[in-house]
Amino acid sequence: MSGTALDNPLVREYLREMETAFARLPARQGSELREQIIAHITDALTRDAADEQVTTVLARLGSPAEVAAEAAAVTTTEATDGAGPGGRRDDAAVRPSRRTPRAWRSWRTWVAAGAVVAVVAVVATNLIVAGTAPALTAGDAEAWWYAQDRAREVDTSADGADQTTVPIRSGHWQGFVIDLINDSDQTQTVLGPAYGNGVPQAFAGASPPQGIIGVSTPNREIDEGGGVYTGVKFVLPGVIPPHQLRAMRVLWFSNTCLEGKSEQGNDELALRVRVGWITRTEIISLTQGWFVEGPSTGKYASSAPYCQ
Amino acid sequence: MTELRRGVLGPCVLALLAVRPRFGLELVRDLAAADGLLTSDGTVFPLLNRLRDGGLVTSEWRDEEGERARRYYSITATGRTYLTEFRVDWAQFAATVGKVLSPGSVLGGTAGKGREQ
Repeated sequence: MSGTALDNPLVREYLREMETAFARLPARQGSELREQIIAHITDALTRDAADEQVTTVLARLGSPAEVAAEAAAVTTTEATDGAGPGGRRDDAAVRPSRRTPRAWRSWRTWVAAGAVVAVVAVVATNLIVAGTAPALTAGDAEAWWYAQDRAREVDTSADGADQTTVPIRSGHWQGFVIDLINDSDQTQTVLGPAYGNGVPQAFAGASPPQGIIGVSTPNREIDEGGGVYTGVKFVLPGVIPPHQLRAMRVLWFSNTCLEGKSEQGNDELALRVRVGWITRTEIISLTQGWFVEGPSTGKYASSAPYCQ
Repeated sequence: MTELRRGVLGPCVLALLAVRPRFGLELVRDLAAADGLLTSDGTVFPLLNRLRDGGLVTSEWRDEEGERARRYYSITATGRTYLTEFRVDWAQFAATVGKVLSPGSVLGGTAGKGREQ
């Protein structure tokens, strides 16, 4: 496996802090910012960057809390008419009106208290139900996305684990499509890949490292021999209703520097998934490992300047 | 200054993208080259997302030979219109502020004398 700047311990710590800070943001916004920050770090640092360089880049980036605060400020701006790009919300416009003590002693207080209790109960019930919903799972139907890869795939099995391997096509897009099953009673919405410490990096070194993910709409049965996906879009967020399945496509740009017969891939995918009112990270165990095999070629050959 | 900087950063991003599309790091470095405009690189991305949500900027993935696949940001027609209007407004605004802040301005001189009396 080839390493990237994302493997640097300082970067990993930064990404871990980022997960915490961005958890407060709306899911789509947090997911998008994660991707942008990771791309920024990957572009700014070589995989063997010295700690001093890493520290400089991360310091210039600002703390995750600072970025999240800026994003939150931007979010509130959207509620203010006429604010230009970069503007901020006038807090006075949303400040709650003052209430007199007498008002709080009125019967309205009791109605309000009852409403609060009801809302809390509904929220708590929703959170419990959503939190205990089983995670998405991968189905059996699966195929390499591109015909060139389907033609050259080699399927192997060892110690009960299956793996499909194709030669890396350096400088091209590669990927696969699988069934994703929602076996819960809740609608689950795939928001995007999950990043961070402890999350499996699907294709570290490729761009982006977790692949570009899309969920089919409308659903389309996967044809393992290839098939035509005319009229099918792969989108995010990808909604999967209760007890239904959707095809999920994972694509990445193969710019990894692989030597000889070395391989890179994964048999897990980490997804950010919204269930009801909560957003969580789900680790999807794939029914087989998806791997690309070296050697990389052209500008991505291990001896080329790009890989040094 | 922080609020002023925040207010003008969006139009500055649009101005750079009006020249040519840029990816994140490229945009950040060009902004950072203008001293004092950018306090931290990471804050550019929430701004970019807001510009895109507002229809002023669009983004697309590009895989150029020999490079990593990157998300490139481009200005939209709406963004160009906004930028044109902002340039006019900013020129008038900057001129007005410049007059007031000038040591020899009528407003500045009057206020100074008043305090001395």
